[in-house]
Amino acid sequence: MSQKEDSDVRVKNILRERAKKLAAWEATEAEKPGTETLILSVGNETYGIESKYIREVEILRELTPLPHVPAFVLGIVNHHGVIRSVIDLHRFFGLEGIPLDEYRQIVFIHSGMLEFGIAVSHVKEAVMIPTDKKRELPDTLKEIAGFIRCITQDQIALLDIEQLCTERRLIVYQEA
Amino acid sequence: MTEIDREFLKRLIETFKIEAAEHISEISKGILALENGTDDKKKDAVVETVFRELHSLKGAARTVNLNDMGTICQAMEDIFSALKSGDATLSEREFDVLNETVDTLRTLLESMGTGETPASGKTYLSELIVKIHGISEPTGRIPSGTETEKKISEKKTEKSRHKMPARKKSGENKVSAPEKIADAESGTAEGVSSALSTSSGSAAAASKTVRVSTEKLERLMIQAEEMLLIKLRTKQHAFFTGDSLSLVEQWKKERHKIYSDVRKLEHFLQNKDRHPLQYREEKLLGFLEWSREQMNEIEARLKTLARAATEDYRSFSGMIDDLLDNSKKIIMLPFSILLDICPKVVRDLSHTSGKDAVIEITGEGIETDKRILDELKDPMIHLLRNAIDHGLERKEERIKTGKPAGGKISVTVSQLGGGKIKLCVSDDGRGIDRSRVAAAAVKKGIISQEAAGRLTEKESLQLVFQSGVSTSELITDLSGRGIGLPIVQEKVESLGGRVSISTQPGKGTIFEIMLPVTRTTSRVILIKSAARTFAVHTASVDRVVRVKEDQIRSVGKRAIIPVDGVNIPYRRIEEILGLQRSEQTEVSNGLTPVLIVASSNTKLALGIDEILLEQEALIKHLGPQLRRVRNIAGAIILGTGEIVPILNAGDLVKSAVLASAQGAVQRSISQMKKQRPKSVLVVEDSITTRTLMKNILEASGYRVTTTVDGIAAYTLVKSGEEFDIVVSDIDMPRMNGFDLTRKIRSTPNTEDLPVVLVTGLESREDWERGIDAGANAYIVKRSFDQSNLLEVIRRLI
Repeated sequence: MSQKEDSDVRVKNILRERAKKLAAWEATEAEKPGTETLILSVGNETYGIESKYIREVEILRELTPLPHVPAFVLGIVNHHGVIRSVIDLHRFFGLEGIPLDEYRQIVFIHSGMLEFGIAVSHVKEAVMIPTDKKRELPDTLKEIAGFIRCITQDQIALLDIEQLCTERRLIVYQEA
Repeated sequence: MTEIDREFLKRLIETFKIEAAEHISEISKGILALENGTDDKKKDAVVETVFRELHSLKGAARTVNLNDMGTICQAMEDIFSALKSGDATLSEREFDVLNETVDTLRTLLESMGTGETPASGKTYLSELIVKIHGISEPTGRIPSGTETEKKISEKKTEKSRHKMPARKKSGENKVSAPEKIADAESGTAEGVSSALSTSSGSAAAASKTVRVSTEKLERLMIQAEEMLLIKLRTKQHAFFTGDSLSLVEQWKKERHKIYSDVRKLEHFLQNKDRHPLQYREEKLLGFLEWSREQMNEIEARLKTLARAATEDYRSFSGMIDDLLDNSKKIIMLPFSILLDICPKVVRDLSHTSGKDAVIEITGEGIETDKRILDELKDPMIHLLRNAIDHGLERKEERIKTGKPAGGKISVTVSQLGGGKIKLCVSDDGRGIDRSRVAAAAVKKGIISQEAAGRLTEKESLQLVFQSGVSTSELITDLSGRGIGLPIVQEKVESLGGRVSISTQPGKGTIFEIMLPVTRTTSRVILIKSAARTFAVHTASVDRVVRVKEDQIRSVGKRAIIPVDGVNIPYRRIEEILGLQRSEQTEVSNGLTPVLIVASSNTKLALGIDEILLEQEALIKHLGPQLRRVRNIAGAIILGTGEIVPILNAGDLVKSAVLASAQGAVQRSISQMKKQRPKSVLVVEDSITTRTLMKNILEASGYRVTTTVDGIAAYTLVKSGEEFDIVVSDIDMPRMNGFDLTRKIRSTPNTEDLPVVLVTGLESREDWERGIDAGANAYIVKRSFDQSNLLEVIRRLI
């Protein structure tokens, strides 16, 4: 392993630790005033993503698929002259994916070093969500509990973007 | 000292002088600022800056054996370290000492290389150092300084407030001068002019050059490159307006055909004898006439637009090409930026590996894109490591075979025609044993035993570029993990270049890297297959041929086509990419377009549906989430905004040529093996280390058994308990790691059991004892972090 890679790994570990700490801090911070959150739907499920992680929302026009990539990577798009990958949240969670043509919009996420798009059916609104009212996850969401911060009264599953972005499985690295 | 050494040191000193002058000036500025008094907040920053500058200067000075300067810096560093931690201040007299010291540093620097000792002499220096130490002594002297400082701070001028030295962003303090240049790290001003100017600080040179941070230049370059998209888009617009114009012309043609009929109809309708013109009919005729005029107007405007668009395209294209060209020239630097580090690398590596090696560099004056040089740094170091670790033989072995005791490594840069540069790294060592490479690949499960037998000489040599293939018996911190050459290949190919290798047993090995002179815009060939568009680097396509189906022959299980009398393996692109071949594209004349793709020494004939066009393109990364996708090197954006993935020629060749030989059986076996958690035996007498290792390994999914010494471990191993690997300390009571390894090797059933020695001993002899004992890897504890250990274990089992 080259020195650069060594230090890469170290940097990654540090970043991951830091991300965890920051996330933990956020959770307590968010208890009090509520957090600005974008409400969106993927198929029949409703999710919330904190606005601070959102770069932009765009209409999904053209998606260039790539060979070999895991099923949750739907393809790549041109985002202001930069290439961004677009992922299918449900397929990533291991849930059944919805048909491609039901994806209408892309929510571009940024967190730390990572930037990518999440394909969604519909972006509804941005609201302030008080996060103190935590609820038990319904059975349908049990398996993705790690990526859900909490469920609101209105059955909105708040995504834990930090957790998602530090998930190793998300990064595609394929040897030749 | 050899001639090369002397030459090297000279260059090093030149570089050092420039760097040191900068450091000294910052130190001096800082001290003055402190003396003039600054508010507390700023003071901390200034102290920190001076401290770092001293530290950097110390490191750099020691690299060029300027030990006096190093000692002075160290002494000063102590003072500033004390200032950093406490709220100590300095008295006026003490500032005098500091200023005097800075002057001395300047004198030392100026007298460097002239062969004269500074007038002040050695005694002066030691006295000075005593004086400096006097300051750093932690005493209660501090209050006296506060008073002085107060006095001065009252007189604080506007000027002193701006005294904060503009500190360059640089986290690296320890790098030595030559490395710093080679790094040319972004963000610092180490760059073009500092590296190029040969006479340091000469006023004439200064007036002709401007220092600009490489970071800024690179940003500019990237922006210039982005302009390419504008160029492509204006081209698209010109094409589109032209296309629209032809639609209007088509309309006119059709209208012309029915023109006489329309006239007749008009006459008929206007024939007042028949009946008066109805309102509706009048409307209709009016509309026809209006449409004609409207179309004429549209045509006229489109013509203007098309002309303007074509004009725009021409001028944009010219301007953007010029802009790109000039930007490229700005960041053209000589290869010496890269190659100056080589002698030191070779010296250090040959020292650690106990071999004698000299390096000969030619053509370092040839210029190329700085970003190419940056990217080549890793590959270069890998190649040198490779040459020294695997290529060169030990002294005794060389003498036995009639070679000079010291090995020779040559690095040659030459300019070829057609904007290409060749970089050769060769050694006069033992050469590469093809059969051992193939054997290593079989062992790693990259190809099957049977397939290995079928490989041509070239193909088996090609295996060295496969990840994980190493002929080295022992994994060390330096090499042997088989990841160096794949990195070399990947980097070079990502630069639009190619690497090839040739070897002669007993004579040596040559790595040849062909590179484009400039990086920026690559040309790509757009192709279509499986109803998708892909791009291929023009540089990696040898040629394009069209073949009849019956020209594709099969030899065994492999399809081949003869091109110029050479049989080249043939694969359909859809097979490699796992796509569905589209049905409709039955090529009209029965000819299939085939790209002859080359990577390293291997060629592949790639069957596709259609070749669209060749064009220039800016290669983009796939974004941070897709770090590396097999067979895909990136993507380009077309003028239409469409995204096209670029095929990775290296991957294609690997997955096609080698994977075709790869037994499917091999894979499923290794997959089955993965089901059971691997079992690790940890042998370590220190309880702390033992617990640490157990935790690390268990966290990574290994089953861990621990023992306290060699005897206990050997008993366990012999008892028939199954372990996949042994990780052992060396220094242990009763039986040490070497003996344990030897025992394991000499016991039936365990002779193949991998053994990793983890040790605090870092010496050549121990390393060799490790090999002799039969260890598979040798990790020095100093460099032992968990990722390193885990990586080694993963490689071995």
